Parts: sequence; structure tokens; C-alpha cells
Amino acid sequence: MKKTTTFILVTVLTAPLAFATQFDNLLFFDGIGSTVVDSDSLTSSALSNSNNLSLERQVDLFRSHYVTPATPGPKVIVAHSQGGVRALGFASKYPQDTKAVITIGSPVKGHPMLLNPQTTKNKVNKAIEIVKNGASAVIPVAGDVTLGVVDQILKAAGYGGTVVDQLTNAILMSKVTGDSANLNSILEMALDPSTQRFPGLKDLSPNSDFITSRISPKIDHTYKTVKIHTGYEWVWVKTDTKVIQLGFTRIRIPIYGFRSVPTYAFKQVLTSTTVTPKLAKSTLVSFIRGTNNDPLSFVDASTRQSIKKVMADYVQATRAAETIEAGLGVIYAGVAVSAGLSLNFPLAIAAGGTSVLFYSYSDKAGRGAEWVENYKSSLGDILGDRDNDSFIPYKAQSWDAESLGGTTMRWNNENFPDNHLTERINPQIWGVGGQLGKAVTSEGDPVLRRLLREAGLDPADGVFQSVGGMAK
Amino acid sequence: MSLRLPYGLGGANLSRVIVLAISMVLAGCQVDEPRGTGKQGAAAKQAPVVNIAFKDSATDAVTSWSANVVVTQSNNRSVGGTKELQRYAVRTKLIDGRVVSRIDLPPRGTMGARTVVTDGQTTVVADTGSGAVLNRVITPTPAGLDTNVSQRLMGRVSSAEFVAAARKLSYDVAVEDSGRWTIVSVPEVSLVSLRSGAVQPNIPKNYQIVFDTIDETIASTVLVEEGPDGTVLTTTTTNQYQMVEDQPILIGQVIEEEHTIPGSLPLGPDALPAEIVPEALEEVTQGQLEEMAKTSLVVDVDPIIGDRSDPSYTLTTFIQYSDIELNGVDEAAMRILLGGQK
Repeated sequence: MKKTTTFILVTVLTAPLAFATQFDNLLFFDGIGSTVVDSDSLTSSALSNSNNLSLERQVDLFRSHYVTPATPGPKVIVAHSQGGVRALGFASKYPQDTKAVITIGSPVKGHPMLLNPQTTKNKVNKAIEIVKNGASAVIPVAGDVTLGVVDQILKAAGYGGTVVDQLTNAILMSKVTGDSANLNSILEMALDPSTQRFPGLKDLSPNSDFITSRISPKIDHTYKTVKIHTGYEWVWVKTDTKVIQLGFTRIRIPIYGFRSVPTYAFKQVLTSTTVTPKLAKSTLVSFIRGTNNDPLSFVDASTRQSIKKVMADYVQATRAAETIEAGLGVIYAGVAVSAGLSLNFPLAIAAGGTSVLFYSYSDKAGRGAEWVENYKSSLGDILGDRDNDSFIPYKAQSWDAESLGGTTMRWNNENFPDNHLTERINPQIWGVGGQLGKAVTSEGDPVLRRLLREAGLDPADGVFQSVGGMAK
Repeated sequence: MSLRLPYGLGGANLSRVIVLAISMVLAGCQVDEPRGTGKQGAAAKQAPVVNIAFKDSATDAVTSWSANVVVTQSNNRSVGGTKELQRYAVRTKLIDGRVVSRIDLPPRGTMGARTVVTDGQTTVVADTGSGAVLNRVITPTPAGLDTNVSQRLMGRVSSAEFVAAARKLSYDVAVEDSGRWTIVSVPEVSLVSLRSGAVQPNIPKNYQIVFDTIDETIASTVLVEEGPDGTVLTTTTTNQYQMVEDQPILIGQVIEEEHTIPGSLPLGPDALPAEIVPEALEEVTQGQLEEMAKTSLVVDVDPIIGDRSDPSYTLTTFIQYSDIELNGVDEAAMRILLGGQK
């Protein structure tokens, strides 16, 4: 089935809007997977994917392209996603050429997923395994709605694939390689051992050379693991071991006691207290953040409805299986007990094995159901924050102004209920008819209009159009 | 719908629940009484108290048993603490010569509360609130099984009878020097021969039952299996008892599964250290964390404890019974869903 979810659009500059004012010093920067002219000459046909060029290189290229004798003025940059990190790097390296940086849904602090890409990849693989195991645990005895039936329904409706494919695909974790719109592909790029490959993506890690040297105000660059006390819980703890010596054999019998133990949460942090802002005070800064953490919001309403139906069928089947199989596990455990008492070892063993099988199925079915029922927080745990725009964690989308440097603009840290795609076209951000790469209009009093006016741009017709920043 | 046992009488996968099956009935070692630890105890919630009630006396013949059950699990390589897997109320009663069991499961996720009732032949699943029957499954169990509920629930068993039966089957029986412990070892050839037709891939290698001949209980069982990828799984089960009127009452079980897995996991370019020792990590306060969050990205992690390249781990499952009542189950609650009644 053709993948229906994408969250990166390569937007092409259109012809200028009638009566719009084109600003030489207004630039729009796009995100990962976008096209960059890989030459000092903007008219060159040498194009590269922004994942394949280091952000340092991209900063220098954009300077070559847009800071020219003909267009010398300090720039106002409106940037989405990876483009925001590029824009802050630009401001840090070329403060004299930067008037303002306004980022939208950008991992300006780095993306936590990329700090530990192997661990995150393991989480993605684990999630896919949970969903698959849940499906396989729905054995015919367990319910009327089996997943085989659901697969047939999907096939008849022309969707193709299995329930598991539908679910993992919908939540952006499909193993379709080469598709930049899924987490697996991004993590595989991040894990590529060659330093020459995908530097633009790797530069989005919070401890990348680019972020630590150009943006982060901290001196230290090495993330340290720390713990924070969160409370106490009563748990069974092994307090002793009874050892039985039998000839040369030792048999250990554990002894347990119920104890109150402290619980902790674990974090990775940069602990130094020395802070050196990297942005010049003269640079105006504003962060716009997306908060729609539902990955199903990426697809159209009709597809979303279909996927939700699949999810509901999956949960119904797995929850029913969980209950029945747990009951069967208890029953066969009882049979095993009775057989044991009757000294019928073969039956005790057979029934015991059956019991374990049903307990195992029940557990897998329950885990699958839970994962799908809580798909938003399940995805959030992989991204690194349950608050996110379905791709960038909320806490990574802005900096504390005093630490970062620069001067905070009047409208800063505005939140919009957008996902990583709709941030590019929301009329409350861009104005009616406006979008990234095209224009900011005045209709609807969008936040960008206010910010651009504060940055000194004031078109007579109220429409702000950029001459560049994104490849044609 | 009928259900056949996936394992024939001549074939089975000897798995860790054998341990559960046999040792459920039989007493294990006594355990420490729960106690807090000073400042921690003061700060923590009260430890759960196991209430045990008898209709008349603990030494009366027991024909019914009920309890609330909580099943929790912890992984020694995970920082998540103990996770609750399942919680339910169970009632068991001897009715007309058959043991009838009822399990009431609370709502879970989007599923409402469910009740499962079985007499070993028929299993019914119903909506707990409305009583509407959702599934009915035939679960034939062999006839002639011991239906003495009291034996199943009390700790004591005649180790001499077990040992005699074991010797008849040519199992190895050894007695520890002090005479207190008797160990029955089931030979590998017997374990494997019982496995024909099994679905699970693990091969049982060793199974030992340790009897406490003084208390007349089973102290522990240990099962060792080998998986197709070379994983060695060692399952040790111990029972938890509370003595009431000199009768050991089962109040819980601990099932420890040690997975020894060959090979190593890739660490990748992650910023996490190769080895994580929670006790050695610096502890920070919420205030310090908030201050750090202003000047850098604070990343939530759920690390693997110990050597991150080592895939081995130990899962410990705790089954805890509380509000135990003997001879107090109402027969009506048990018959209500069998025989097609709603």
C-alpha cells in the first residue's frame, strides 16, 4: 500500500503573489530532506539533500547565496524544523548579517532521539515487536474477532498489508527504507558509521559539534547521566540466600522480604554552570512551538478514520484474548496442581506447559493492546517527550533567551496546536493563503506578521514574500 | 467451541510453570516479615497487610478459598521498578465433586471488567457489570484428578509419598547431610520425552525439587532450559507462607527467571555510558534540573542497568494474595454463569 503518511514536504517557490512585496532580506529556511544548492553560486545546478551536507557547510552556502553586494542587509530568517538549527548557527557565525531568527517546530536544542540513536532504534524495534506479538497472541479460541478476519477486511477494502503493517506504518515507524518520513529511516541514517554520510542529520544531536559550538551556551559538551529521587515503593527484595550443599552440587534458595525502596528517574544533562551565550545581543529571536502530538493528524480524515477502525479492531481482539487466555492459564495451572497431587507427573507437566503458554499469550496480547490504546504516549516515549508536534519534542523547540543570547522578541514561545506538517501552513502563523516558502500574509493577524513588523519589515500591502532560502 | 490440549499426555514442554503448578500447593521456605527501614519506612506507604479469615478454624477441612491477587514483575536490568501485570479476585469452591473457579478482572484499557468462571469442563467469559456472556469455551480436563481443595491450599504434603513415586519413575533422589533436605532430580531424558509435540522451542535440561522434610513442604524448584539461540533459562520458584494456627497458608510466590543470553548488544554512538551503576550516579534535585533545562536539553532516559552490551537479564514475578478467606465462598456466585445463565 502506498504510504499515506508524510511529514516533510519540499515546498517549491511559486511565482510572486500579485501585489506582494519581495524582501531581499527575508529568508525562509526549510527542514530535513530539503534541497540545497551545493555551490557558492546560487544558479548552480549542483543540488544536495540537506541531510547530506553538514549544517556548518549549509550556513556558509546560504551566506554566499544571500549576503551579496547587491543584497547586503542583515537578514530576517523564518525557519522550520532543521532550518531553525541552521538559522541559529547562521546568526551565531554571522551576527552582522542577521537581524532576526524566528523558528517554527525546530529542534533548536537538538533532538533527544539522536543523542542515543542505538537505544532509540532498539525502542522502535521493540515497539514493532510488541504490536506483532499482540497480533500473534490472538489465537482462534480467544475471540470472535481474530486478526485474520481483520486482515481480510482490509484486503477487501484495497488496503493491502496486514494489521501490524497498518499500525506501525501509521505511527511512522514502518521499516520502509529510503523514506525520510519514518523514524526507522532517520535512526538508520543517524547510526551510519561513516562521518561523511548524513552529517546534516547527525548535526541535530544535542551534543553535535555544530550545536555545542554554535548554539549551546554551555561549556561542557559531554552528556552525563544523573538520577532524581521520585518517591518510594514497596517491593519484594532478595534479602538472603539459603545454600544447600549436596555433594559437589550447591542449590541456592532465595529468601525474599518486602522492603520500601526509593525510586528514581534518570536523565542525561550537561552539568556545567558556566554559561556563555553564543548569539549577539543585537539578534532578535523568537520560537514558535507545535503541540499536536497525534501522529494520525498527518493523514487525511478518511485515512485516519480507516486507521482508527483498524486500531479499534486490534484492541478489541487483543483485549478479549488477554482475558480469556489469562483465565485458561489459571485453569491449566489448577489442572497441573491437581495432577501433581495425584502423582500424575506426565499430566502435571503437560498441563503446566499449557498454562504457561496461555499466560504468555495473555501477556503479549495485553501489551499489544496497551501499546495501541496509548499510541500517542508510546510514540512520545520514543521521541523523548510525550509533549511534541508528532516529531519534535516540545522541550527541544525553544531556548531560554537569557542563556542563548540575543534579544527576545515581543511574541515569543507561542504555542499552536499543529503537527510538524501543519506548522508550515497554519493561517494563525502564516496568514490566510500564506505558507513556508511562499509568503506571510496579513489576513487573520498571524503571529509572523507581527514578528516581521517588529523586525523592521513593513510592506505596504501587508504581504511578506521572500526572495530565497529554499531551492526552486 | 472445543479446545484440545496442545500437548498430548505423552508430550509436553516442561516449562517454568511446572514449578508453579506443583509448588503452588506445597510449602516453601518461610520468609522475612515485611518491615520498613527507618527513614525510608517512615517516608513510604504502609506495607500491604495480608488478612486471612477462616469460617471456623484453620484446621477445618477447606472446601473453598478466595483472595485478591496482584501479579507484579521486575527486571533486574531495568530502572522502572516493579510493574503491575495483573490484578484480579479469585474464588475457588468444591461443588458437586468438581472444583469451580471464578476470576474477576478489573477494567483494563478500553476493556470493561470481565469475569471468567470455569469448572474445568466449561469456561465462560462475561461482562462483570451486565453479566452478559461474551465467550463460552469447552476446556476438557482429565477425570479422576484430586479435588481436595484443602490440600491445594495448605502447605503440607507428604514428601515421603512424592519421593516414593519419584523412585518408581527412576528419578534421582538425594538427601542432604543434615537430613532436612531431600532433592528429587528429574533426568533430562524424562524431561525431553515428555516434550514431544510441544510448541515452545526451549529444551528442558534439568529439573530439581527440593523438599523440606521437617516442615513437609517443598522449599524450592529449579528448572533449567536451553533455547534454540543458546539462551539458558533458569527458573527458580519459592512460595511465601504465613503461619496461622500452625497451618502454613500460601500468601504468595516468587518466580525468578534468569535468562543467560550469548552474544552482545551493539552500543552504537550513544551518549549513554557503556556501563550504568545507579548507586554511583550523581543525584540532583528538581531545582537543579530546572536550572539545567534552561541552558541545555535535559533528556529522559530509561537505561539498561549494568553493562549495556550484555543482553542477559533476570525477570522476577511476584504473585501476592491478600484478603484470603477460607470456607467463605458463596455457591451462588460460582454457579451464576455456568449452565447458560446470565
